[in-house]
Amino acid sequence: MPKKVLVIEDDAFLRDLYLEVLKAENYTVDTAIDGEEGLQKMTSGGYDLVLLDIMLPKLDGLSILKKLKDSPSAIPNKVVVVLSNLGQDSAIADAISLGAKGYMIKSDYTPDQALKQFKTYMDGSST
Amino acid sequence: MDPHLNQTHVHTANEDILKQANEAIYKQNFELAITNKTLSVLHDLYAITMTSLDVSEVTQRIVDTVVTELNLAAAIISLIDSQAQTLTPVAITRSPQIHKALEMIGKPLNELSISMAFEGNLIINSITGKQRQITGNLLDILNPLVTQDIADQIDEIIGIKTIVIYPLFAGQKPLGALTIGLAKKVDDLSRAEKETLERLIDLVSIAIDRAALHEQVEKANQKLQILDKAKDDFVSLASHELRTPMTAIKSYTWLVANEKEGPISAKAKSHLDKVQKSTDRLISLVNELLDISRIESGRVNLTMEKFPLATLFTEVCDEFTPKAAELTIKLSCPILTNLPVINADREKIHQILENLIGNALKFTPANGSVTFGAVTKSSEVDIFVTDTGSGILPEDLPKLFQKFGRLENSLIASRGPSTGLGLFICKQYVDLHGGRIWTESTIGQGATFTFSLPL
Repeated sequence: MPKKVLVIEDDAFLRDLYLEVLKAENYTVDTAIDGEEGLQKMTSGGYDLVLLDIMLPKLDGLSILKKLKDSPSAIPNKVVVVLSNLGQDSAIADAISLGAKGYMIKSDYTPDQALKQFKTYMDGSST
Repeated sequence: MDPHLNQTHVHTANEDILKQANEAIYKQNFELAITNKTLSVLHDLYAITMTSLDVSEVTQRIVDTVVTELNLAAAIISLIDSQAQTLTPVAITRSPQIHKALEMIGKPLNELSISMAFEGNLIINSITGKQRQITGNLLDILNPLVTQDIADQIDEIIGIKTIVIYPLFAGQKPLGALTIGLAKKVDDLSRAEKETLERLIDLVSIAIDRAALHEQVEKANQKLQILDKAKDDFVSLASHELRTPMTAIKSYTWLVANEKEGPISAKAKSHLDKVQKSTDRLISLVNELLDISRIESGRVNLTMEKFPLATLFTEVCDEFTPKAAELTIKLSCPILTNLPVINADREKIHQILENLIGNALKFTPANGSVTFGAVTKSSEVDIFVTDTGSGILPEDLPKLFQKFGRLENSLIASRGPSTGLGLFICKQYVDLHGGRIWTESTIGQGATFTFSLPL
């Protein structure tokens, strides 16, 4: 069964990018354009990988993680990775303490490099 | 002569001497007692001075101490608001009588301000005249807050017969006054009481001044922290806003250049390559600015971990070998045996190495070589990067690790301009680890950058 990925990203260009890159690798991809939609989809759960942006409209990434701690998802999400361009160490550290497996600074990665990282995170969780 | 008379005379004389001696001893004892008491109160006040409490706490403690130790009926400290030019009581003895008196006045302490220009109040006169004042009339210190009538009524309740006012000064600056109330009627204080109080006044002034200064510093600090956070948030936000479109440019260019959307000509690929390199430069710059902002607001935290230096060197070697090959520079990676395990922030050390090797590649001509490695010493490990570039002039060496300390002639020598921030950031990170960073160079032959990390 193909792996399921959820991309929670408000920037349309970047969202389309990750959608295209992941689909080309035959992953099943869902997207969310704001925090509320992101929380909704994460709560339904069942994703092998969630790529979570921190700066989101309506509800930010950290708040999503906090809410999920209080009301966990119906089916658990295997790995949550913070995808951020934010420079605040503290926000990233908070995300990790709230259950994110790791973080990636988007501008550091070309599409192939990003994909490689996503796979590493997903493979890490299945062991 | 009557012998009997003689004896009486001698007896009286002896009695006199005895009496005088007794009086002298009594006086000395009394003075000792006063000195003791004074020292004890001074000690308590000194302790209050040394605490960094706010003004209201300090003044209340002074009032309580002075009243208890010196057996006074009451004491008030009033302070000047220099901006409003008013005098306001800030601390007063908390006895039931005083409480009742305040109820009769009908206002809380902080609403009992009097203008410093008002001449009918003895406390203000004491301050402006820089002189101790004594009075038996309560109205003298309550004017214009109450009528004579109310003043008399209060007098009945609190039973204070004498009021003494001491102005408080910090150097030339008037702070306010300490007003004490005695239950006995005196035209003046006894020498003992005067002495004690006079010695206390200076210390009281110091204590209050210090507390006021402390409050000012606290406020300034808070303001600075808010501004600092605002600046940090701004830089963080700005970098986010800059990085997002740059990610799009970088990524979509990569997709086209790597023929994900169909084949492209070699020329098109070359153009796109330049777009990518330019974008990478921009992204580097934003990253550096963000690092500097973090360093300067003291928000850099080291995440220390123990890891083998060999692993890091392997990563770095893999990273830079293709780039070096492109530039036809020989990159010599170190031999990985006998390298220590170090305790450091791995990401930061990686960043430092990337910066130094990146610089080395920039400043070395084609067919040159870049070598990196480590020398293990007893208490530290020295990690070095050597290039065969044109070298650095001795007078330029000190400028290297300063912010924007880019060398003048580097415009010609380097393969592309740099911001001058990279080495500054390296130095900050090395310093945070407790290490040192330095350069050695011979003009025409090259340079070696070394940084040490404690083991």
